[in-house]
Amino acid sequence: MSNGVKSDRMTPKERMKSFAAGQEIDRIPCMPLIGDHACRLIGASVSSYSHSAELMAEGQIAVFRLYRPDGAGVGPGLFGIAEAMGTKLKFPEDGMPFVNEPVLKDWSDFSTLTPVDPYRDGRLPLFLKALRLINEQIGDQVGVGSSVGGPFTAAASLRGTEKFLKDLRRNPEMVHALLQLVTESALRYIDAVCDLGFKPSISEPTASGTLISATQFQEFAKPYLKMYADRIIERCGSGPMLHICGNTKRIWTDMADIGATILSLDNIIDLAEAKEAVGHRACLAGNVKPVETLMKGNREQIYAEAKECLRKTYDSPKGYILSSGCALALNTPQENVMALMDAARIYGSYPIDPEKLV
Amino acid sequence: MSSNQEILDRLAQGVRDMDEELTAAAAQEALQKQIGVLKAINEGLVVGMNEAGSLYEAEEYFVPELLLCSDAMYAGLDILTPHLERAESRARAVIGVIEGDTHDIGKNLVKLMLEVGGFEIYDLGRDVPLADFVAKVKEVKADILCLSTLMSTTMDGMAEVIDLLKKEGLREQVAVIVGGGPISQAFADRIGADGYSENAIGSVKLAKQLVLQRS
Repeated sequence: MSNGVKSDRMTPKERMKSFAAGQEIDRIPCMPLIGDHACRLIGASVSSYSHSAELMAEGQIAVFRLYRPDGAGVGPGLFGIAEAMGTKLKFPEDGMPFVNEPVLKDWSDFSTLTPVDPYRDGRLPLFLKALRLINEQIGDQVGVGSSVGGPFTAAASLRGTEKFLKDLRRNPEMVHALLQLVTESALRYIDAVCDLGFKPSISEPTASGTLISATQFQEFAKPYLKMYADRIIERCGSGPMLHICGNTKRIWTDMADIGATILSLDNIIDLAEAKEAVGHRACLAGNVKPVETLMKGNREQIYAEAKECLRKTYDSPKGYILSSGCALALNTPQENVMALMDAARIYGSYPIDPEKLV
Repeated sequence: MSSNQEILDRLAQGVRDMDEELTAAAAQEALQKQIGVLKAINEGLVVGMNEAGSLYEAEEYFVPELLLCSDAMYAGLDILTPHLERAESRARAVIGVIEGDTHDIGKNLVKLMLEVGGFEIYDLGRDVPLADFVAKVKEVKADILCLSTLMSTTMDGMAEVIDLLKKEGLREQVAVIVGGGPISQAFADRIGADGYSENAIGSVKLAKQLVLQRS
């Protein structure tokens, strides 16, 4: 370990198992949202990585071996379900994939959509295979999970975000029908992941308070997110991690109502406020700035921000996980990701000394 | 028989209340009563859009509402603008979302406001290669270049575009304004942009100011 950083005394698997059971652990867990940054560790382009179970597994295994974060895995992310239902994505050689052609141009085409078969449709089978490969190599040391896009984000990816947002007022009935269908698809994927023994997490950026009101969230996102969470609780025994970017202040209570066990929050909110509002109901995760600090900053700056997060949240009643506010930028320097992990080890080791966090 | 002011009020109301039908009907009336097209736009539609902007700032309107307001505005514009006698030379604006980013809702709102503000728009769309901005500025002799991004990872592309403009000897000819989620006045200053606007409504005012300063 560099800079005299204490070695971990538990494996991530042991740590998170005890954490979930409310038992003593050696340090604050740390799970930066690694995502496609894994490509950089194996020299693969994002597009080839995204189309190969072997490369995805290789990348995420390399991530674990280098950083030893407290979680590992791979998943269809924001667009995988919508893609499997017919939306066309574009895969830049070396950039994040994005929605290129939403499949639902007219509501009259709605009846042509069907729920996915996770073993056949889109790239879903690749993720299931990658999960198995990852587990084979490192499943004894770390919990393996799968990130799936939430219902609102998936529905927006099927319809086109601009049209979808307008449809909330113009055609709420069809919006609900679409959300219902997307949920059916997601539940099938969730079941497939759980059948393998892994736990899904949810990422729902389009339902952010930065885009829609709390009322719109409650009507259009919350009921369906709850269906995802209910299935995950039923299959895995506990609720998922739920990540929503942007300004979530007005919907923290709703996020907890959904049954999420961990609320993963963006850097534009204040963790201290979140702790006040919902720290007694769910574990909080976040929120070091992914670009300004983790990509462009140095070790000192990363330590400073990690300390601030810890200072605010280390004593949150339902626990706290040090993380990035959002997915890491592809070009985040490896030393920086390491620095975040080290920060958890240096400043987050129990017993935590608040004096050291100023 | 509606007075001119009543018609202007209805144009504004139609936009603010996201009512395409009301806006379109009021636009027809405005033509019939020969209220000048520019007047109908600036004292009717734009007033409505400004009110929508205020409701957005007050967190009563969110993005869905702004999109519907802009649809109502387009409904009015579709009827009015064919009757607009354009000034001989309109200021030309190139606009687009920086390469690597595909979020374009904000950019579309700015585009609408600039069009309404009398600019001739060249919309390059989203995920625009940096050199394409420069090429278009050169091709159309743009007065304003508007760069948009929602993502922090692509922000630096804006600085690169400004650099490319300098290299091409075009920097002095065009005013560059920047906007988007992660953007700030400080960032705009740091990269040498000519201006920053926090929202679409403000962007027109800024763009007009900058064009005026240059003439």
